[in-house]
Amino acid sequence: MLLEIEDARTGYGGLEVLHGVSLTVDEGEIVTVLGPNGTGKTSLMRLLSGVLPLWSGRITFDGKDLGKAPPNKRAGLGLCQLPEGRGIFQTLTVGENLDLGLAARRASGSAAKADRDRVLGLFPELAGRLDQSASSLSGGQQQMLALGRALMSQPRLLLIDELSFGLAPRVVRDLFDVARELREQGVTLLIVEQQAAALRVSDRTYILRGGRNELTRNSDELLASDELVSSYLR
Amino acid sequence: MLQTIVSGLESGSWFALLGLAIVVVMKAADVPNFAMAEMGLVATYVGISLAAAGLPFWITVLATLVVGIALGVLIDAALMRRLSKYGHFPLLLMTIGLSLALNAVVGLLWGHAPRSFPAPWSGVSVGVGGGVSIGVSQIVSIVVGLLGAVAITMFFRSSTGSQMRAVAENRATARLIGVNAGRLSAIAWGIGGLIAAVTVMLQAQSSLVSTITPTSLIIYGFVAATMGGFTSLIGTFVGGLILGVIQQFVGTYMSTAAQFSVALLVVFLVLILRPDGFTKGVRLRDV
Repeated sequence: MLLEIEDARTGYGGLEVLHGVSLTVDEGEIVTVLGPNGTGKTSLMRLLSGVLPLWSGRITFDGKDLGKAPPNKRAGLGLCQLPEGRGIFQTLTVGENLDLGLAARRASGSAAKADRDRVLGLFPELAGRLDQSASSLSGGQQQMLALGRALMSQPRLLLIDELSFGLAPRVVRDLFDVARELREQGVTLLIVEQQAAALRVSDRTYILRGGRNELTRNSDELLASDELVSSYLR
Repeated sequence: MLQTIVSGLESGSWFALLGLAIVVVMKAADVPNFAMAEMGLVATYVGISLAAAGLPFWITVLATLVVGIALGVLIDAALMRRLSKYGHFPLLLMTIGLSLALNAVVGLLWGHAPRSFPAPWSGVSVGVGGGVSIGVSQIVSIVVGLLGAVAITMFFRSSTGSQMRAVAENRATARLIGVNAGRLSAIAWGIGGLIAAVTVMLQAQSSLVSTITPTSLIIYGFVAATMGGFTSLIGTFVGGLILGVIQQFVGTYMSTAAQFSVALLVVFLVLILRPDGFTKGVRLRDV
């Protein structure tokens, strides 16, 4: 078990948003969390990355209790997040953004170069643009850059908040292809999505509703029954 | 005329350097440091004392720089880090309080009489023809100022530097992807202390410094930083130089009493006309 969340509660100020969510992710798995707007998906991500405090319950990553570890510590452990809205730094170049992924770990010059080449192999569109300002990229390219940056940190578990956010369906399909490729490289993924398209790449799916677990199924089971998904995502 | 321009560039280099120190700390630690000039004064006074004790010149220079760095890192670790969770305002007040406290400490330990940091070249000047001669210490200030600006610009291109720019753009996201903002803050305060030490030391090898030096220096430094919109290194550096020249011309052809008002008038104009700094939109790459 790479990640285990047991009965987690959290919220903002005095307002509880997650009322006891439980979830597990095994090494090498792709797990999606689906749910309509306002069900606490993003709060779950913030809880995992250490931005929101855990009120009660337990989160263990790779057997270690995450407790109150700050975000940058968690990134150092290999729990890396692709932030909602991509989190690309507009005042930096594409290459500088990519190399920020190295901040989470100590990497020698040659290891860093090898990582960069591997990531650019995955996203050839970025290779010719390393010296451009990141603000000149399209939405899809920025999402690739965000993914690439996350991969530079060699995550054990990559948390992705809304991979498809604001992107054309074709671009989303490409990115989901990349997600599949990542799994083959041994990266475990936890994807939070509003779009049911994410089911196609994932092994298991949790559906959240109102800050609670509503349903847990194998993704292909859910895919096979459209009305099951649509009834929960409405 | 030439003499006035050179003198202007000399003091402009001090303003520019202090402005750069302010901008560096502003970027990484998000606080306008009003104690910057006093930090430089403390470091310089340590150097002056060591020189008076008979240590070789370059050793005292090195010691001054080390004290500047140590002071910056210490202030960050002991004071700023603890207050940062309460937001900007307590941090800002802390730097103002710190400037008063450091100034008082210097007054207590070393007194209020003006002092200088004698360099091997102090008092030496070179003739440039037409009866005009330029002090070597003036050239030193201008060259060191230029080198300092280049070094800081290069630092911001390095990986630590780009992490700092990321923190300046969006602290929360930078932390999410693993950037250690605390480490960067310590580095920025260390660099700030270093530049402040260099600035006051440059002033002390050319003229005299005392406990009243920081009062005007910090204002000129902030004027320079304002001219760079508190973000642009080039804007801050060029702004400092321009400010120095303007201020020197006002002193020479109008009155020295008007120098200060003119500096404040410059801030006023910059804030009204180009609130983002006067190089904004010239599309230099801001860091």
